[in-house]
Amino acid sequence: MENQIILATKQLTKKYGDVRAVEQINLNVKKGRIYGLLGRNGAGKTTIMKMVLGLISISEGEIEIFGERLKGNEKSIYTRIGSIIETPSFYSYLTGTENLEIFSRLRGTIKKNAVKSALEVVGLPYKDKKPFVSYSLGMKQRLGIANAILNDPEILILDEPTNGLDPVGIVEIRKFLQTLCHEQGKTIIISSHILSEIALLADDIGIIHDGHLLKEFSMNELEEKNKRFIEIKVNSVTKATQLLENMMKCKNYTVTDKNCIEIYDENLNTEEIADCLVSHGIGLSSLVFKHETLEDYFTSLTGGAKFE
Amino acid sequence: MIYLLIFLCFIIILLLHHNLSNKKKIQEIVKILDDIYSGNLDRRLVADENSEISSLVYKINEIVIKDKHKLSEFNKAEKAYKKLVTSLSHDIRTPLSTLIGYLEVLEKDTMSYEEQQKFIQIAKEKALNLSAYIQSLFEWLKLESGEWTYDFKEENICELTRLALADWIIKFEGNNINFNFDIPEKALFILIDKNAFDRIINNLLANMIKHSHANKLVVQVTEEISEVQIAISDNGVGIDEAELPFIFDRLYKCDTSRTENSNGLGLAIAKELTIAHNGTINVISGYGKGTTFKLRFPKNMKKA
Repeated sequence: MENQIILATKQLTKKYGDVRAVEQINLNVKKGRIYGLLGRNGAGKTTIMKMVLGLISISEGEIEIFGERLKGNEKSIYTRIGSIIETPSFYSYLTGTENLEIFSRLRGTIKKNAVKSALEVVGLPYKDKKPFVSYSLGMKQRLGIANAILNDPEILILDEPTNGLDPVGIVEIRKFLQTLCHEQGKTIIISSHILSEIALLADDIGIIHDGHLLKEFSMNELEEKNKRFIEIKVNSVTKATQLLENMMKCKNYTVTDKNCIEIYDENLNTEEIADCLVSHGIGLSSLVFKHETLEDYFTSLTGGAKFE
Repeated sequence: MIYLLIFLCFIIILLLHHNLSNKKKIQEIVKILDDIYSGNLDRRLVADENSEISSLVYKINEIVIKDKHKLSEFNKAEKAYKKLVTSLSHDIRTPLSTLIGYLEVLEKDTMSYEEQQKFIQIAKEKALNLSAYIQSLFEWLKLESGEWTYDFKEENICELTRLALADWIIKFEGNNINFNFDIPEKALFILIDKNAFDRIINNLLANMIKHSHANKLVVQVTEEISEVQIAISDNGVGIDEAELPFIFDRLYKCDTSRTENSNGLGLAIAKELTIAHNGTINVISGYGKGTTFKLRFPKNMKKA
């Protein structure tokens, strides 16, 4: 069952004067999947999301959502999208419930007691007395999420939703988003700079770097395509490489550390390698099958700088 | 006078506007309903909580959500069914191929008379196991499809328990199991299907003998105010707490390393049959702590 494209940007560009903040972005988000927008801080993820949500103007390009052009259909389309951009902002001296009730009166609701249900889902109290200004960061994020899911939207656009959450909170959000997507069939676009979280959560990935969309792929594709290699740790790299070349006719390898070799030749049998090395007196302390992770792939695409 | 006229015009304009805006709203709703009709069960109608059409809109949303839920349950069931069919065919193919393997060996190899006899014994055992499995399978399928016809009669549950246990005494002695039955002399009459009850007790005892490696068994029948309780306890290896919620699921096998063809249907069938009596079945156990199965049958089961 092929998922159709529910949100697409065509040549989306944002210019601030002469500065091209975001350039020719062609995103393709599939229905019912989690799309992770990956990139370093300042790469342009939030700018893209803001343009999609109509919070900043589009310099060039088009956006298509639910199969329609966004321009001219904003009202009907935005009712079907829930979002959190940057830190959720609410009225400081109103309680969470009061805040949500204002928004629900502005937007309309889909059921009776929508505010109560939404607060229940995120685990915040209903009609309590605590004003938003006294909320912890975790509670603020939760209120933002409650606001985003208030009208059971078909698409959720979340900008760094785990920002400022503790490890437990991050796991909770992850499970919550997985439920929303896999059990309720919502489409979720989430931006993050925490690679490990995205790797666990996203079905599809778009890598943004310096305002450009470098690549779009599914996690499945990545796993299949990922370079698989055998990593061996030996006591003598020089002897081992010699053996590899002469005895095993293997030229496809790299020495990555003073004791560590990565062998890319998949056809080599690990038993043979171990046997060969050990029988020639080389100390083999470890032999492992490994593959590139999302982090490795990201680093190689964006040019090696250490990711935070 | 003229003020009255202006006032009336004003009211008329307001009413017309209201009418038009309602028409527009209805058109929008119809458009959204078209989308829902074409299969998008994720679409929701939005309305101002105070407007006149809000309850109508909310109701429509409720219906759509219910539909969506039903659809996803159906899809889940379909998936589970496919999985079941696959695992069943595996559960039958595996012992069958082992059986054929043994027979092929018997056919070809030259071996001593004693060895031959041994292999024939093993092959026969495997065949009998397979036959018992298929028997359970059909019972379970019958239960699931609602084709099992019950014959509820007023029976003395104490006497039935004694009779069911009597058949097992030889097996207990053969397996060195010390047994202790605590069944009241008093007759406790409840509506029971004799065959079903027999099945329940048999399945629980078979399960115990096969898995618990116990050497002590206690069966206790007690009368409570509104129900009769039957507790079957052993001092065997017990069941891990983490697995307790799942043991009554069909096909669940705790010891995944076993090579024997033990089917998970016995407990599932016992549970179904107990529920048919409006009764309940529970298990209390822990790794290394023995196991107790508790059956509860209500004294006054309302005839279906």
